[in-house]
Amino acid sequence: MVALKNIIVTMKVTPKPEEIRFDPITKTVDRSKATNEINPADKNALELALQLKEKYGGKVIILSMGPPFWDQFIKMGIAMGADDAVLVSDRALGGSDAFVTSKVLAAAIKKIGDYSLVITGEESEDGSTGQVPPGIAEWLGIPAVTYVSQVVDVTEDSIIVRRTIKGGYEVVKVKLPAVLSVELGVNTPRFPDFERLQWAQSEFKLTIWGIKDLGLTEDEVGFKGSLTAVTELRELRPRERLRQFIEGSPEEIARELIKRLGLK
Amino acid sequence: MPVTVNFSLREELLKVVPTLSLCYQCGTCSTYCPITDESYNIRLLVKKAQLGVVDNRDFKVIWDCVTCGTCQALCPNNVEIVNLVEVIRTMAMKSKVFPTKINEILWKIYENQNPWGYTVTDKRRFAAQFSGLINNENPDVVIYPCCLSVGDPRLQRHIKALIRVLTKAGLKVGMYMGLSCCGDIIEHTGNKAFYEEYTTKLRDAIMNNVKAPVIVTLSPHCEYSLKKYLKGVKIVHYVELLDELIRTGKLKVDKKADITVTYHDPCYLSKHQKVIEEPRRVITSIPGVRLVEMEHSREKSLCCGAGGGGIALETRVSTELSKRRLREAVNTGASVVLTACTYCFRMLEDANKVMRTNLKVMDLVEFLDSVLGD
Amino acid sequence: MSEWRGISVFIEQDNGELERASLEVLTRAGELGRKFNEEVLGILLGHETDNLVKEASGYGADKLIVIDHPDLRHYNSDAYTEVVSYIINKYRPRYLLLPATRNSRDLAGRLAVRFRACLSAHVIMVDIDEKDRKLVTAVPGFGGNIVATVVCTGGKPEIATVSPGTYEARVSDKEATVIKETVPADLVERRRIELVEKSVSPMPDLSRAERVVVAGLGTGGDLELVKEFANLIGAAVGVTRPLADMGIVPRDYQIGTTGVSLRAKVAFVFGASGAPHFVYGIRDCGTIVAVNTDREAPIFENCDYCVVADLFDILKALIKELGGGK
Repeated sequence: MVALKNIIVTMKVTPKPEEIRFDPITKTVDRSKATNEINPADKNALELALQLKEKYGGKVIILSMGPPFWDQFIKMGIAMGADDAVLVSDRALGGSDAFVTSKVLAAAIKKIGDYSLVITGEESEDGSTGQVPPGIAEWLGIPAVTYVSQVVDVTEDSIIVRRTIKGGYEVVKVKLPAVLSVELGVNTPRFPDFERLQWAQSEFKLTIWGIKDLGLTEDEVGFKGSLTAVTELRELRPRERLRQFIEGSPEEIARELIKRLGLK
Repeated sequence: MPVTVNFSLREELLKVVPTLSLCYQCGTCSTYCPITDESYNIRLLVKKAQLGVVDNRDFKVIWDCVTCGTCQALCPNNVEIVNLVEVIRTMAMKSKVFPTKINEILWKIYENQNPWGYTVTDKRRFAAQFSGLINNENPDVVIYPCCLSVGDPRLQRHIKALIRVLTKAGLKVGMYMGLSCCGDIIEHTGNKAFYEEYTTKLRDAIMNNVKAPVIVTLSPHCEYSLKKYLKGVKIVHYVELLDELIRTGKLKVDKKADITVTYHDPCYLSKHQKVIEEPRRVITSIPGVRLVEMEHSREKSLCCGAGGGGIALETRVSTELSKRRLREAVNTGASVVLTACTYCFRMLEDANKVMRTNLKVMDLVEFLDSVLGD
Repeated sequence: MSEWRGISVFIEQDNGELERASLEVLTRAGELGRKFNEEVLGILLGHETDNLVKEASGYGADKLIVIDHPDLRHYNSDAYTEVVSYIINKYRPRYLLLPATRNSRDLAGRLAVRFRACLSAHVIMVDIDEKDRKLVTAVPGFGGNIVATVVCTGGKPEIATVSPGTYEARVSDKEATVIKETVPADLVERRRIELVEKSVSPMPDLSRAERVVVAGLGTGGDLELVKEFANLIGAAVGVTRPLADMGIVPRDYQIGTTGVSLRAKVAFVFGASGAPHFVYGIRDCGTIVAVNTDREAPIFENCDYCVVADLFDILKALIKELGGGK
């Protein structure tokens, strides 16, 4: 029987995109009024990890990099069934781009150690870069399979997964340890057990690490360590359109549209 | 097949549903149950509960129940069968035997306060439409809109109709703008711990915001649900309020309408709360309106398929039931089928889209408002 | 070591199938190359690549570097990372552009860390700064409502993945010089990922379709009539993000900032409310018709013909008027 070791699941908290306001005068993004939620694809990642644990054993550990208030979201992950969690939190991390994020997460993964798998969401809803998962793999020197939809099997030293590709899928066998990025919506994340949540809120001790704990310096992270810089923000403004309402019965509307668009 | 009685489970079930012991297996329940088939037999389930032998197979099918309460309303010994169903669902939830769709629904309620996926943008647009129509300063009554209406323009028309009619009766009408699900669906999923946490928060939010002695709902599910955890405020469904306003002469129905209508009893009015005559009195108070009954009506009426969380769970029976019910309405020869429930309306109108009958589906208050005019 | 010079473009193929979005990126690289006097380098990995080479060499590249190896027929994260790294080290291009497809994003994420280089992902504009020649990109974030101008501040090559449909692929009068490279065998063999099975069906090229019918959440995922109508007018079918999230169709059919951008002459949008990330994906369409039950829906701000009605009623009527239906 194959037994997995640590299964580390990365988790991010993102503001709901539609609730973010943009101030065109100051050209800044106001996310203070937006509700935060667990990054949707990360819930799929955690669900996949929990299913793996149920079948092949192992310990599911949530890893997150963000401000201290994320602990309430991490506890939701604990209530879903994760065994442990680490939050990397440090003021110096503000402004980190995907390059730094993957570096910090990889350092934390090394510190947690003894892992078989690192499972992430395919991308974050606010950044949508999708570059952190392969980045983590590169820092750790292990393979990555991105856009995973399903685990087919786990063998002694490998995992066989299905990944989505253009117009279909491929099944690949990859040596452990490996990074898997999970496609959004490939499973239905279980709803947290609220009794376990009550336990997590009073008893669970979240491990919090600063950058020093990871052997990183301020120059390596945050704005200073990033290789990209945002110079300006603007709102997407679509072009002006006719906006002409067409009224009538469905048949009249259909005839009018066919005529105007020359469909026949 | 002989079974071994599980005495501890039997005792446990009898404690939460004491009337369980009164069942003598007459079979009235399963005869009238709208979903009885080879996999679902409520009479057998009650028997198994009496013996404490409810198992995984029961957990699997229990989600098909639409909690319409027909079984309970007709039970000669008043066994609280719907309660039993909810208890078995809680057990099924604990044993992790439930449709995965429930996870999806609960996440949506947790993140958006409604199971339909309506977002803050939908809520903002909803609020913008009503801000000019309501008085939340010193209202006489406050409307609690069903969360299903948040992104549904057709259902929003019903709320506007209710505001107009109540205003005609001289009332200052406010509205609870929290736009949260009343918790009805959570309860049907059997997730007790989440239900407790959710409704406690909602109760505080409502009590802090509602400045009227009366909360009026459009959905009987909201009424039934709010009554469970809100104290110190009167909660009524609008048919009860309209009936009272008409009878006391505060609302004058002085316009005529020459039309034949039929009325679909929402289960959570007729069977669960015995509100049967009120809507009929409101309908027949309109001069010229002829009310004809369907084959199944009052406490024997057929469920639209939405109950028990069916509208969100989309169980195998729910759309089948709505079509069956609409056919009955068509058979009356009426030109309009009225109802007084947000879910029922949505189910029947959706069925009508598929079946393309000549019947018009309307909410009772929408109908009354159209007769009263400006 | 020589200076980092030139613009390289990763030309994606998988099992002999050329990714059209690479040609869009190549065309853009050609424009930038002319403007800034930089050599444009196409990089193509695969096996039995003659046809691909022929096709790819006409889109503005000066040189086309081809690495042909049986084990490169299919995309392999490990092998491709090693081989492309080798090529980058040899040719030292200052810029590396890739299409923002799944495989190329996978590759770009690894290369960026390998070279300790900057990477702008999923950009909707790519340019070079006139003064300091840094790579400048526009990156949509927060679900596509807000666009950030991003510059590279460190590392070479300066990398960006470009959203499919952002630029038009145009055949150039320039024919690329083909350079066949061989790489040390262990680069390809040093891999921990093996392909077991593959299944693909041909995909309509949404970004090039002349007519597109888009289904939104209002369809409830019922695409039967949408497809029937699309067939009648010879249109491709796309969906909005919520529908792709529901898993009704593969994400390849998703329209918007994180999906495909359309360039259709006519687009029908059924039951989409008009979220900004979606509207972005239809911005370059000719005429847009939207059908929605909600008169207040934001989609009506962003279309030419607005129809407030039940979308299924309109679809049925359209099908009937066009002589379709059973």
